[in-house]
Amino acid sequence: MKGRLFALAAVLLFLSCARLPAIVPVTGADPCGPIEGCSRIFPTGKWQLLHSIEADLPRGRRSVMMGLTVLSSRLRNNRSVIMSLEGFVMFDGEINQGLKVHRALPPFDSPGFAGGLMEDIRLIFFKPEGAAAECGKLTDGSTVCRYKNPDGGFVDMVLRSTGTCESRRYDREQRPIRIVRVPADARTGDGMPQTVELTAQGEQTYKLVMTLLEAVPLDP
Amino acid sequence: MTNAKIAYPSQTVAVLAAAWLLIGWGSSWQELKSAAGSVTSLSADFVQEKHMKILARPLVSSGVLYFQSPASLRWEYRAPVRNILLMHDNRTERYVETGSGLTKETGAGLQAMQVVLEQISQWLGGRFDENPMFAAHLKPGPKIVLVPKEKAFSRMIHHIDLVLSERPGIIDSVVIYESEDSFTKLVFKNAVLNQPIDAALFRKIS
Repeated sequence: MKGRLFALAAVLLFLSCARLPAIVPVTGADPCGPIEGCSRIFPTGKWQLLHSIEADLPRGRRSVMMGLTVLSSRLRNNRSVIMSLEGFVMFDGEINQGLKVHRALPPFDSPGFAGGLMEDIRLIFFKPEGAAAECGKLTDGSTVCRYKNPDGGFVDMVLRSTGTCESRRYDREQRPIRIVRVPADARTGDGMPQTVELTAQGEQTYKLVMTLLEAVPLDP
Repeated sequence: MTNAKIAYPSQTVAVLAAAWLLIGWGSSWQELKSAAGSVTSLSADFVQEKHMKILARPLVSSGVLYFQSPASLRWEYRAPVRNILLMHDNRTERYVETGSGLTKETGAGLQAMQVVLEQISQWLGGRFDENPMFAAHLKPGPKIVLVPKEKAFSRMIHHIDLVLSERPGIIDSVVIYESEDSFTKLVFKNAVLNQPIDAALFRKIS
């Protein structure tokens, strides 16, 4: 009983503490300007991308898979396939005016998996929609632009002093739920990320390290 | 997650390996079984193409395969992601290239590899038509068509075509159809039959 009360108190404390990082306004120059460099991590046009994915999962499980993504930045749609290293398709789904699952084998058939995957794909590959609601500096001096998500949550685009670009997603209760990190030295000449790290926090905890194997430009 | 559930991708590997290992041709199941008994070792390079309707061009992987009778196997992808399956002395290990080098896979994935071993043992005996997972049909060509027996499994693999070489003991290609829009084709090259293979290849990754 005492343990349950402690856990409840911890959850309430967590909830009460959840809030977005403060943004210090910057006067003078365009505060969003420096973030434009981070926009290059998002593919422009239509692409076929193949990644190897190292997944660190709960309870110490580790798995390596392949991820295929065909996307259009203009239409903001994508089709995403998860394969075993042997090429066996375990999940195939797309977002195009709605979510459609073409194939989902265990354990990729659980409720909510497809939607969650597509949210992660969106955070990794698509620039946040609309204009930034707020831009400025974080307390550590990093440049930040904040976007409001249609779901009521937020996405912070952050440029660290090291050159690392981050997309930090918060839910509608302002709790951090995803961090996408692209180090400065992990980009190809045209800005395409060679390595992307995604860390999931909150109810789901996992980490994905995606390494680009192939990027094929497609006809628009 | 049950072992059965996680076994499916590995069973695909088993089918690939076992299909390649079903060596020695004839016009009947009995002739296939007889010829299979003459194979003591095999090695070959392979190129794998993944075809899907949505792909502008297929995804290409390549690697090498070694087999030593009765049950030693090394199935190694060298590109684009290095990935090695070793089976020897009833031990099964799998290593995958990660950011920290070749990493040994543990847990459920490794258990699934036991399924691979069981499959291969059966196929090595040339018992194509006795496989509990697939119904085998011998076609002109010669070609063998494998169709899943269980409906649940057929949702994952529609059927498999094995195209046999004119050279006894060699298979030209394996095509695994997952659906109408998705299939995987393996083409084998530089096959060598019944030559000595260093046993260390089945025990160590390098």
